Amino acid sequence: MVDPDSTARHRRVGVVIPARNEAARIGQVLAGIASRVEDLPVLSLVVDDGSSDRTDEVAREHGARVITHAINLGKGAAMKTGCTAALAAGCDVLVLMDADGQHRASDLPAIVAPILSGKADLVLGVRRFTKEMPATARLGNWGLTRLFRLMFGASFGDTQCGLRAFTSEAYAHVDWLAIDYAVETEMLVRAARAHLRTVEVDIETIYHDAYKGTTPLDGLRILAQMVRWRLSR
Amino acid sequence: MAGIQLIAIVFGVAMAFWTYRAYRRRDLLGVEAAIWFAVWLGLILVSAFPDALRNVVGPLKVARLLDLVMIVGILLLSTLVFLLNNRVRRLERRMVELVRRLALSADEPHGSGKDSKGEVHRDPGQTTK
Repeated sequence: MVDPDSTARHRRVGVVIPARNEAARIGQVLAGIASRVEDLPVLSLVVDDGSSDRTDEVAREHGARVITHAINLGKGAAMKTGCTAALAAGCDVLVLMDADGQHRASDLPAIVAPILSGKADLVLGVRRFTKEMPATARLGNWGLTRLFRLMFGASFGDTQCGLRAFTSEAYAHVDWLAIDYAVETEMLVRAARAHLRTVEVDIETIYHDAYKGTTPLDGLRILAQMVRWRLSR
Repeated sequence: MAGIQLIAIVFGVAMAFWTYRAYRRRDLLGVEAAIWFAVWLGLILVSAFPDALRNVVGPLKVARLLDLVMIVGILLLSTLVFLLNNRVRRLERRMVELVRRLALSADEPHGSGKDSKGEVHRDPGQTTK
């Protein structure tokens, strides 16, 4: 468990946004991020994961620092690159946020607050599995969340939500190997095994018509990884 | 000569030709090409002269010669899949690390990616894996 005293002193918040071909939405996402959250300066860091559109240009135009992967590696790899850069830039609170507009920047203060108050090492956004979520995604998210509880004995409201925050110390515990969409689940497996203090925050469920995130095939891959992680200990 | 024998021989010859082309293009090293040639030659010989292995089938407790060929084939394929899987995973890990290092190096003017000694910054905990 992370020392609660150490979480009371923070300097900078790094908002890491992995993005691939999100030129249409990344500008709006970045425009919503304030320069300060809970009185701490914010570094918006976009990791362009091999986009073929103007994602990097649009992100720079909106004031973000952009790191570019020469080829597409996957969400987990992009998140890891972003966290590495954010840590090197002096950020000691890391926030992960999707680039496709599924997360509202207005939720950032609520996501960061439990960390700044020293109540949590890891904060998870939790969506409601309502009709705003496509039926296949709803079924997949619900199923994976329930299976996670069965397999790992830890109960989380939404294991697949990408809006998360954690301290730099907690990152040492949750640092992942997955380079794909299994990253969110692996992070929780590591957090549960490290007994990190976790707080969940309700966020709005937002899906756009042109949703291109996790597919049913990705869900099966995540399930296969869950079995592997379960057997690996 | 049975039809299946003929198919196996044609298949073996075609694969030997492709192996030769891969060797000429330097996709295969000489040793690798020699091993593959031996495999295809073995297939052609076993298909053309199946009686040559009759004496082997009995002691190995295999009912038919075709069963022996299939068992050996499955063993070879399993080994190849295992080796290829390992190779692909290792290459993938190296490629991911390389792309991430290049990305962070390009970001160097911002002060990220490398420390004061010019070494690539590593995440906390990364060295423990």
